[in-house]
Amino acid sequence: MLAPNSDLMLVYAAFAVLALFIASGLAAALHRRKNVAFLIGLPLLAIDTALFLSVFTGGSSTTLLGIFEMYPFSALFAALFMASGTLIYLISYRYSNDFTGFSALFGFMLLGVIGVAASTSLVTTVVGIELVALSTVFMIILDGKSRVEPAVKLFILGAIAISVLLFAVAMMFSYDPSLLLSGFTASGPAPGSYILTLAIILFIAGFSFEASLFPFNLWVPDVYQGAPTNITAMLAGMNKKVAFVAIMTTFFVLLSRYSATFSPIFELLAILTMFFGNIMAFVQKDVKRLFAYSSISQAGYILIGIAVADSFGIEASIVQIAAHMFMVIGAFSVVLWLESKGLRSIDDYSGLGYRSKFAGISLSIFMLSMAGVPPLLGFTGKLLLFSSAVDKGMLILAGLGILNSFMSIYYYGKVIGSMYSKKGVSVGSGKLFANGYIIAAVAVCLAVVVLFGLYPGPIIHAASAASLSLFGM
Amino acid sequence: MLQALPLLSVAPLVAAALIILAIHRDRAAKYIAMAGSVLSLIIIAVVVLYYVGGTYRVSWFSLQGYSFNITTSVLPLNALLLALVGIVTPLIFLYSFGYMDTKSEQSRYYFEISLFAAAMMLFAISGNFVTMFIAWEMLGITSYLLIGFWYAKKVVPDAARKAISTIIIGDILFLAAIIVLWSAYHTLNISSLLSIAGSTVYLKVALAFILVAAFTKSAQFPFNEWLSDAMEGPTPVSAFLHSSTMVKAGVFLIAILLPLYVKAGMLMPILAIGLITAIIAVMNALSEHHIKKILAYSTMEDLALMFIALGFNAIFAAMLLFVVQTFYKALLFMSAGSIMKATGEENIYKTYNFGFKTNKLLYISTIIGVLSLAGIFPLGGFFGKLGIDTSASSMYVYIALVAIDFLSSVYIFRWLYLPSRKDSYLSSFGYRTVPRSMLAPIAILAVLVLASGLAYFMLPMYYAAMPKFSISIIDSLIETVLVLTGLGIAYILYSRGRAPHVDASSLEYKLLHNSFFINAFYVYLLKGIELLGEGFDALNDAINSVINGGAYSFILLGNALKRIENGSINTYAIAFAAGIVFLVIVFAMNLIK
Repeated sequence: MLAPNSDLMLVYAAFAVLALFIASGLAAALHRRKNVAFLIGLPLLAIDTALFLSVFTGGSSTTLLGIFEMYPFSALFAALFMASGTLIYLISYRYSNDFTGFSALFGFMLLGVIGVAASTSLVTTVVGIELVALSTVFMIILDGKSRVEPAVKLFILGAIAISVLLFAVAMMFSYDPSLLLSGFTASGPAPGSYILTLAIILFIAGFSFEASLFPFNLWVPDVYQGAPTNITAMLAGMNKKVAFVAIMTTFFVLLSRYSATFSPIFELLAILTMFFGNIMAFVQKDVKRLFAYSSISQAGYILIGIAVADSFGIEASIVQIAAHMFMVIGAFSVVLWLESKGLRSIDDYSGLGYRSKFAGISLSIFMLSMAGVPPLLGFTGKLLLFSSAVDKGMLILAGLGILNSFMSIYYYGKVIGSMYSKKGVSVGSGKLFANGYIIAAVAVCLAVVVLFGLYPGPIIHAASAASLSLFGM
Repeated sequence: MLQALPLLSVAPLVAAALIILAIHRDRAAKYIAMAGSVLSLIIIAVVVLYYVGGTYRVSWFSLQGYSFNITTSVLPLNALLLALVGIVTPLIFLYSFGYMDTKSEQSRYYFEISLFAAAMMLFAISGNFVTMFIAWEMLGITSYLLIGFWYAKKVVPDAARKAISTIIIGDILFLAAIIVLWSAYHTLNISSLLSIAGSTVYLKVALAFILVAAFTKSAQFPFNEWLSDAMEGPTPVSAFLHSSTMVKAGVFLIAILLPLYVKAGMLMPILAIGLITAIIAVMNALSEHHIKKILAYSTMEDLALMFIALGFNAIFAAMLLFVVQTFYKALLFMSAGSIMKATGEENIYKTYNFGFKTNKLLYISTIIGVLSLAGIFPLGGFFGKLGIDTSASSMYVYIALVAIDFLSSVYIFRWLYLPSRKDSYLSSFGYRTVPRSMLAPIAILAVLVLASGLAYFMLPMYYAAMPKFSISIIDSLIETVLVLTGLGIAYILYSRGRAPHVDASSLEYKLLHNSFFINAFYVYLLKGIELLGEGFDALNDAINSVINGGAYSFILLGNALKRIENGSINTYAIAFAAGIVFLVIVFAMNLIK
């Protein structure tokens, strides 16, 4: 165990490394040195993951500059986001059209992500979310002219969402001008106040846009499909998850007193989102779009834990967020590599399992995990989510969740079946070989999904510590 | 001590994973499998020497205050089975090196058999019924795969299907027993179940289920038919299946739960089924022509003898036969495989020229195995059979057992003499070409069989709790005289060129060979079930179309919903606004309520 003082040093070190990453990204962008940016940036991200992880295991809570607070919840998410950031940085190097520009923006994006996770006030949360959204828009545009359409869609709709969020923040201002997350519970009005209810509605709408919840998510498949796939992996693996972190801090610290008001709404949104994602995924032909809808349905599952609205539910949500983060980044890494070989639709994937064992096995494992097949990590997450709902007596929610995971096996099975059908082997035949970047990223994701699926102890323990610290705020 | 070490003995599991996932080269597969089995033998040696008597926990995960552990227990019985599996596995793998000389399919074979070995090891160390059930299922499935290994041959898939469909009855009942035990006692740890006091109706039901499950695995009446058909699998698999794994699982399960059976007063069915099976098995073995099937019936008889001893609550006698049978049966199967390999013939009446001159090592080892099976002093089989005889506390059973000993001596010497007949027209060259990798494990096993008599003296030191039986001179004299008589009869009947033949159409054959027409009974049973199945099939079609309709309606719904995904930013913005309105309405309704 480290002394309290050295915990503080660790936090400083973690932020210093992040600052270093931003600086190196900017410098690389100015000098157009792609290789240098990668060789400096990747180790920095990996080191930062380790630093945030040791901040988490330290278990203390530290306030930084008055706007950031590192406590187990935020430290765990910072570590998770840094880990997924490392993976995305790794796969982007080879496939990004403007890697130096991407590096520079990625630093700001990570700052926004950490800001949301460690936020102590509504201002930090909103600014963090906006930082993430804007960096993403520019990352998409930087990739080339053909990417303008998804970028503009994301930008305009994002602007609407952020304005809605700001309006909600303005309403909160009337009750507590400090806008601090903690401390509001005492000064807020009794549940049922109209202004506050409206603020809750607007918060839900704004965050639902970011977290891709129905019906605020119609843009998601278009943008996922239109964006370069490494950015799509980032959108699914980080941007969505950041929104969930914002939902958790806002609703369970700031508005925890009103959980009876918002919990049924989240329950409704969870059900709608799961069904929307799964039903739409039924009829997709394009693999990237299929994964877009599948990650929408996963967002619905994650929301189950939030609708449950107790520490067990949040624990379950955290496990599922971590699980889906690695599953979806791994899956999109494979999709990214296959896309560069010209394989896009499910039909293109037929016989893939014979052309590349790597792609066949890894995609199958990721999809089985997403469908919730034991002993993979996705199963652990869903098991926790459904049991948290059952514990709380929300049997309909749990039942519909189980029905949805059952339905999802259909379209995951369709892809797996296509990959191992002998029909298409002759079409584009020839073996496919992945490059080191993809293999490394996929191997890490596979290891997490399989090993923590078999031995979920540590990840459940971490999620439970994080969830308890969130409720202790 | 390291809590996880007993669990690590399932090292062949890693080998199996490596073979199937990472290394597809046929040539490497056997060395990986061998390395896995040797590694597990080393671990098992450590476990057996230093870990006996304890229960070990590996914590898996904890959730909301409940913690889930993987419990392994190394009670003396567990250690015994574990040691037997550990010793036999590398020998079987080594034998496979020579026997499975096919060019392709090597990696599939070594994958399946490694998984099978791992399942048996897991079974041996399971400390609770959940892990035990997992291992039990793995055993069932891998044995199905192994029996059906040469699936392209005509009768093989049927044999495999017969095995799995018999075993599955046991699987279901075992699971039912687990559920009953859990709901009655809220624990599945074997050690805590053994210490429950009193006998309730739940306990009796669960024990009855477990008994049937054990009978299916150990091929006891009326589930005995799959075992002889299972001879269609490769010979190393038969040797493995019949010595230390699979069929022993049933006996072992009853042996560790024996105190409960005593408490519930349920020893009688074990004894009765054991007796019936032993008689059926001996009759079949006397009339069978297939070189491996005779040994299969002999296994069935040995298992039945173990059940008889368990039925008399004589666990020491049962375990003694359990140990010695492992070695001589593995040895005899390997010999049978070598003879089959040398002559290319499975019918024992058509094999000739097996003798001292054609292959010294093979012949001497085989004789050692045969003598042990027949029960000649001082080989292990003598103590094993004598123990069973002595344990019989009823005179009638004793007489039946002695008769069975006599008949088994006849059939096993018949098994030895028939291939040993001389026929100078046939070449005996094949016996000299049996590869070394097949002879080496045979020789090792012969030494083990020679030494296995020591088990009689060593087991009591190891298991102080077991009451030892004492050998009486009269019993051993009766046993020896009968065995020698059997030897003599077999010699007179079968060692000449024209050995008496039991015709397949004759009445004797029908009486001896049909196991009381149990097979025919199954055929009629299946016909009935088939009719029932056709009815269900029609019902199934109806349900299927409902489900298909449901799935199709989702696709229709998806296609309809696709329209709102038209790519237009206006639609999306309107949906956003509509969403807010929707939320307002929902909240308003909640507030009004």
